[in-house]
Amino acid sequence: MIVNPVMCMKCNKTIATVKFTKMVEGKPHEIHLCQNCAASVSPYQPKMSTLENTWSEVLSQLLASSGSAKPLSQESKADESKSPQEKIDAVCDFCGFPFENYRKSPFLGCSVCYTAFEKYLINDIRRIHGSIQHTGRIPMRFRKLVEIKRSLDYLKRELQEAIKCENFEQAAILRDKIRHLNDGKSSGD
Amino acid sequence: MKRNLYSESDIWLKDEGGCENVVISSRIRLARNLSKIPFSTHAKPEELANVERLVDERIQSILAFNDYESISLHDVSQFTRRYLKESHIISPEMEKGGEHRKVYLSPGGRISIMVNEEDHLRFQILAAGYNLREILDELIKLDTKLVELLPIAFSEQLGFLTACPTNLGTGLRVSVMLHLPGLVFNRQIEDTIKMLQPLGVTIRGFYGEDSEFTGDVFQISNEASLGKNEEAIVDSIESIANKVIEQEEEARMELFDKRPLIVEDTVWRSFGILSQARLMDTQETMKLLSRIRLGIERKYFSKMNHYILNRLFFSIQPAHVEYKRQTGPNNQKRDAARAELLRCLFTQSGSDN
Repeated sequence: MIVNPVMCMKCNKTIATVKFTKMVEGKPHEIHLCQNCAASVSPYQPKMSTLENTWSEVLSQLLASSGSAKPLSQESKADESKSPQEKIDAVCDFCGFPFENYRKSPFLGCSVCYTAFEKYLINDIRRIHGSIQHTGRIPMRFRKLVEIKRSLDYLKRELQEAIKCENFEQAAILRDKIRHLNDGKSSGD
Repeated sequence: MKRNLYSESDIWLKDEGGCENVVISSRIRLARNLSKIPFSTHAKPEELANVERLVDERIQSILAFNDYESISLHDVSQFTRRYLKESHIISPEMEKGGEHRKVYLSPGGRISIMVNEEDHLRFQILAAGYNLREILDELIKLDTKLVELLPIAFSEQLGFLTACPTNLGTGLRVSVMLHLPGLVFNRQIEDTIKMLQPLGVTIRGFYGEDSEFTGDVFQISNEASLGKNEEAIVDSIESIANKVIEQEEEARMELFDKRPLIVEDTVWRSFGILSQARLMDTQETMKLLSRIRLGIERKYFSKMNHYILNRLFFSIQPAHVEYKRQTGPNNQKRDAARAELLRCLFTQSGSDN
C-alpha cells in the first residue's frame, strides 16, 4: 500500500528495507532502516533487554533529529521534570507561580518562570523541540545583545581550544577580544 | 460592529491559491507575550485589562492603517463567537469568551490578532490554497511592527517566551488544510498518518485541536517551534505537505483508473442526497461535500469549482446556517435550513448534467 519507497531514517541515504514497530504510550511508531543501519543498531542477536535499550536510543535519536515531541526513551523519561515522584518546591519570584502547578496544566505563570525554573524545564523543552537554542528571528532591541553573546560563546570556545593546543599567542589575542566585547556589553546595558 | 462581520468573514477564501485539488487553505500564526505581565492563563483580571489597554494603545497606528475591526469577545454573543470560530478567525479557546479578550480583524477576515488567548498575542494569516511563503513574509512584516511597538518577552536561548513551552522559540505554527478523499477511499490514510508521525508534525481535523477528520479534511502543522528558524519550519511543512499531496494525487489516479464506476456512483449518489434531502446535519453534509469535491476534478459538475466547495465547508457549519436562515438554535430547524440551502445549490448546478 505504501506508494513510495521509504528512505532509511538513520542515514537517510539508502532505501529502508527493515521496519521496526514500537509501542510508545499506546501508539505504534514505525522506524524504517536500511540493512546497514539496522545492523549497526543490532550487530548481533541481542537479549531482549539490550534490544529494548538500543531501541530507545535509536528512537529518541530519530525523534530528536526530526524535532518530534511525544515518545521518549525510558532513560530520559526518568529524569524528565514532569515525573510525578520528586516534589519541587520552587516558586517564581516575579509572579508567584509554584512549579508544581506546571505539572497539572501545560502552562507556566509568566516569562520570568523560564529563568526561575530553568533547570527543571530544560529537559522538557529539549524533549518537546529536539533543541534548546533559538535560531529564528530576534527582535531589533535584542539583536545587539544576542550578537555579542553569540560572539562571546564562540570566542570562549576558541580560547579553550587555543589553551589546549598551547597556542598562547592566539589565546592572548582571543582574551583581548573577549575583554573588549565584555566592556561593550556592560556599556550597552 | 461597524462592518458586517458575518458576510465578510470568508472573503479570504475567495482568493485563488495553488494545488486547489488537494489544498483548501494555509495558515500561519505567531505567539507573542508582553514582558513583566503574567501570561493570560495565569493573569489577574486587572493584568488582563492591562494587556488589552497596552496593545490597544500601541497598535492603533497599524490597525487604523489597515482598517482593522476591533471586537471585544466579552461583549459579543456566544453565537457571534461560534460564527468566528467556524470561520477559523478565532481559536476554539477564544470561543469561550471572557473579559479582556479581543480580536482585531482585517477586512475580509484574512488577518486576525487575538489578545489574551493563552498567550497575550496570537496573530495569524489565513490564505486560500497553498500559499505558505507569501503569508510568512506578510506575517513577519506585521510581527516586526508589533514587536517594535510592544515590550515583548524574549530570551536569547529560548526565543519568544510563551505560556506553554510547546510554542517557544519562533512561536510559529504553520498549518496546511488538505482534502484527502483519495487516501481515505483507498484506505491508505493510516499509512500516510504513520508516515507523518515520526516527522514532527501534528495532524488535526477541520477545527484544529481534538477535532475529528470530518469531510476527509486534515490539517498538518509543525510540532516543534524552537531550534529551526521560521523559513526552515515553513520549508519542512511544505516538503511534508508536498509528499502528502503527491500521495493523494496518486491515490485518486488509482481510484479513477481501477474503480471508475464506483467513484462515479459514489459522487452522484452524494449529489442525489444533497439535492433531495430534507434534513441534513453538519457531519453528513461534510462527508457528502467531500465526495462532490472529488468529482469536481473529473468535471462532473460544470457549474461547481473547488472554491465554491471550499466555502461550502465553512458555510454549512451550524452558526453559519443559523445566521443565514435565522433559524435560532433549534437543531431540526437548522438541519432543515441546511438541507434547503444545499438543495437550492445542487439542483441548480446539476441541471445540465
